[in-house]
Amino acid sequence: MKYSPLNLLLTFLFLAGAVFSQGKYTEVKDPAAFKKKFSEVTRKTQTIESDFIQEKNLSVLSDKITMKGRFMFKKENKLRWEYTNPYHYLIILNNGTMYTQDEDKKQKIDVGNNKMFTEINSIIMGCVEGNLFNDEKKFVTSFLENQESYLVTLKPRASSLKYYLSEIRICFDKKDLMVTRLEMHEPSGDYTKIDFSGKKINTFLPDEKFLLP
Amino acid sequence: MRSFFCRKFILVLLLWTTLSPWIMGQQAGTVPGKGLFTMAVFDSSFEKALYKGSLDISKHHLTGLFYLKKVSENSVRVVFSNEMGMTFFDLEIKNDKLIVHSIFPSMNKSSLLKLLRSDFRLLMVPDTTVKKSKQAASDDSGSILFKIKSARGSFYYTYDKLTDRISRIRTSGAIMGKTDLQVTRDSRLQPKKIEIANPVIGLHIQMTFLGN
Repeated sequence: MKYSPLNLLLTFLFLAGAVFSQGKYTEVKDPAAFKKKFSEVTRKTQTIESDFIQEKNLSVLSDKITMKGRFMFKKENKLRWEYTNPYHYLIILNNGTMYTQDEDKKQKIDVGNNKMFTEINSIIMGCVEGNLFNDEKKFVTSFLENQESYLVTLKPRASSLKYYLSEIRICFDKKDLMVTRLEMHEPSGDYTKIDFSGKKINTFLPDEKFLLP
Repeated sequence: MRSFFCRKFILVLLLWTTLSPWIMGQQAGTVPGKGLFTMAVFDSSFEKALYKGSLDISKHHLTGLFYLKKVSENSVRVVFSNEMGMTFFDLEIKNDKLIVHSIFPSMNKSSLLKLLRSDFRLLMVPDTTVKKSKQAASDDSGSILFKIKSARGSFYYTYDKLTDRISRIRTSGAIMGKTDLQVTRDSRLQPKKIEIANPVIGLHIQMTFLGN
């Protein structure tokens, strides 16, 4: 095959077209059906394990801060965020109590006393336990879809939450309705994007994983 | 003969006190037409750095990442966010003035902002308002101590003799804004660990270098 400039241009246009058509989201026609399907999937989900890459995008400084780690969820109300890069940091949520471990420093935090953590964690917990769309008083929710995924956008109604978050975007894989991406947008324009990969569903996760070592 | 040595000693001492800012390498000196200056903890080659760290204020213990960046010759930016990416504060010091880009409502207090401005200025912004610089007696033979008076206030700057770099800055005289900043450096003289204590107001910042 000859790589003439015209060939290359056509190939590029074809690929670009394919990428953009995949990325284009349109409104979900029947959000109620999506919610029902989502609730059925989460009802059957007992545990989730996955790797994640978190990127904080500083809009004004055009820089990114990247962190990597492993995420675990177990029904009911158990989450484990283990950051492994660039340093080790552990966040565990177990029935309303949050524990953190930074090197040897362990801390117990009452989530109820921390508004921002309460909100972020109730969103994450809602994604995996299925009650994300139950609280319509808190968020204005919109449902979009493309060929591969659903994109749910949550805009806070309360001014206290609006101060920290302008929008939350959650991307669900259409094949299994699992979260593939979570984006938390701040009013300043900064946002944090968490990409989940290599997920394992309903594997055995011992309770000890949700306690500090 | 004795008086000759005595005079010579006084002359050497005078020269030392007058020229000491130049002797301290690039850390302090004179800018033609501007007068005396002292470098910040980060020297003029500093561009950006990422630190993991914590900030303790009264009963609150916040942990996360400090992102420091020199935006332009007269502006530096400090962003402190938690591990999950939410910004606690995003501050800029431009032409010595503090610009608050964002801050948690519970931290939005003028006394705290004043301290943060003065602490991060010591870290990242050279002081070009030095009026007086005088060597003071140091307990440590490995370091040289200077008492510096500038428009920012009165400080004791400790320079490590081996590296010519700032290892400690303490405010002198100020009661409310008493600050004690200590820094240890890696082999490239990059600040590796930074600790800033403001005991009166109960603000304590710790930072450990992660990368540029």
